[in-house]
Amino acid sequence: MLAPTALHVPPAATIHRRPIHWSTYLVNKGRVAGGFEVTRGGAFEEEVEGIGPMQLYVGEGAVGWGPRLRFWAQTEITLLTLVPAAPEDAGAPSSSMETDSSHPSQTGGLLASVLLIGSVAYVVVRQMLVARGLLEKARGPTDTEAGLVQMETVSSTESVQAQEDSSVP
Amino acid sequence: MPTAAVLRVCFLNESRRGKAKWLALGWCGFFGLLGLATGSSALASAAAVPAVPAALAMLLTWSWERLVQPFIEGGSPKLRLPAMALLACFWLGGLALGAFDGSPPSAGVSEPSGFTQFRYNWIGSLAIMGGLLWVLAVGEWLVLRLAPQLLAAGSLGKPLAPGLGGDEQAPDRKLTVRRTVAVALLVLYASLTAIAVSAGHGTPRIVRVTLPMAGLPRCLSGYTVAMLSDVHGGPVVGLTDVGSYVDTLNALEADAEVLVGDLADGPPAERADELAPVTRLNAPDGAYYVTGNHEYYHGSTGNDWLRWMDGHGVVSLNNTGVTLPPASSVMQSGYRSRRYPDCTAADTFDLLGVVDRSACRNQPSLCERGRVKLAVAAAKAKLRPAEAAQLGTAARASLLLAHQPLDADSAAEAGLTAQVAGHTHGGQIWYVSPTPRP
Repeated sequence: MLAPTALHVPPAATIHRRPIHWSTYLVNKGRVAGGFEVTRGGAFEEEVEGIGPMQLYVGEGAVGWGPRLRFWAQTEITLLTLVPAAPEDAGAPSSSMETDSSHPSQTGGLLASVLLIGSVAYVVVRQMLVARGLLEKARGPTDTEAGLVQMETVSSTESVQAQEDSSVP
Repeated sequence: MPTAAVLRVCFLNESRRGKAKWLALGWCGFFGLLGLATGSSALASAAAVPAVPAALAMLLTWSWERLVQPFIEGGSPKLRLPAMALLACFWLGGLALGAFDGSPPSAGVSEPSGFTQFRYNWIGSLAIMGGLLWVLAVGEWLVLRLAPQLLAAGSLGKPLAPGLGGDEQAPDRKLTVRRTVAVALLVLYASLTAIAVSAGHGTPRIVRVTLPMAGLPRCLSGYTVAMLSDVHGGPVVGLTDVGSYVDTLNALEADAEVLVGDLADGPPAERADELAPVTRLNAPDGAYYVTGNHEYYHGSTGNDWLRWMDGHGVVSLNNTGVTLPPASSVMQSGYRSRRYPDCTAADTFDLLGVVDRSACRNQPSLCERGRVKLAVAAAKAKLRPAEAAQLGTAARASLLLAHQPLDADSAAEAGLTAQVAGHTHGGQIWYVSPTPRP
């Protein structure tokens, strides 16, 4: 016999962190996947001169939360190889992080965030322009409006014609 | 412009529907920005309250116009009701099924059932359909602005006024175009869902990362750490999958292995069977674990998983740390001398771990400013009491395990060399929320 299933209400803290690109990108300050250099705060940077920025690697995880789907994101297991950072003045090879795989999900996150913010901004600005009566001058009629205008034109032409016909003795 | 004038133009002069729209937008904007600025989950969640029903209403409307209407137009009116029911089942049925907890059907069953996989995949596919509808809407918007004659020749989605184009055959042609678009959308939806499901269920790729660390002893160059995160053992990830990930991790033959949170959805009492393979982790320098946010949900307290890991051969780093390579055992000393013959006992680096910020739910004092910095200070004090006062001044290599990348700024301020994190799932599903029609 199947055990009774319980209604699952997700905790409030998880709601804004759902695993979709724009949410992940915006909440995590643009760090969706891959290597990043994190600068250190104000006075601390001077205090530890020479240590440089902190290296951050964000993995994409082996599975994921909720639906087991990946779209514009990949599952991963990571093998980190630690090497001493090259001194900045030694002319040694770069001390930045290197990976053998790309992380297109980082681009996906940026794109989704830009599109989302752009969409919302468009809707808000358009709504304001419509409210102020400025938008009708700035754009042409939509297809539906064009059709209605055409219908009105046709019907007014017909009524003029009918008037003319009726005025003929 | 004075506030009163803005209010009059943008709100008071609006229709009832317009006022509702502005109120919803204002609500989302106010709480959303406040949530982002303060980092408060409760405020950010409050922002979503009007957005969810609005988004659902828009998705229903859009999918009705673009997927259903082209096929029932011109047909019997009796088709309308079944078509509406079908569409409602597609959207609301998937969401309703997803609202139920995905516990295994009975205790001791550690593999997900086919039905559970199906309903989770269904929910995920709704995001894909939503994204496709959004892309189509943006496409319509662009066509409307850039090449309106194309839209006049054949509407992509919206029913056109009769007579447009002055062609008697135009309505039939437009209906054909709309049906073609609808079929293409459905084919694309099915294909993308299949690709996404396949990618989500496939074997994870191995990503090799070279991580430069200031202060790392030269003799330790090439030290390897294998990382696994976000397994989410539970409704859709069972014993077989977890066993496969553990075997993959072991096959990498790294010096140390780390589990960076979100290992299970549920407490050990429910999920221990699925997570049992972690006892097979066998790196010579040990396996280490920090909690993720999901170890604090679904009835789990976080501490229960920390204790469980400690009892199963994985060292929990609960705001503490270890030095690597460890010199404590004869076996490991032997390994060290083979692998790193030039190293002395002093040639080590710190591996530190902090519990996830969700622990603040049970322990509000952790939420105070500087949580990570304080945790790191405590960890270093335990490791080397004499150096605790010099936190952040000694260029000693330290690698932090912290589940969320959001902790990186605090970790950088604490003077750590590097952090590894998971949590984001690389975004997992690419989706842009729908916006009102152009």
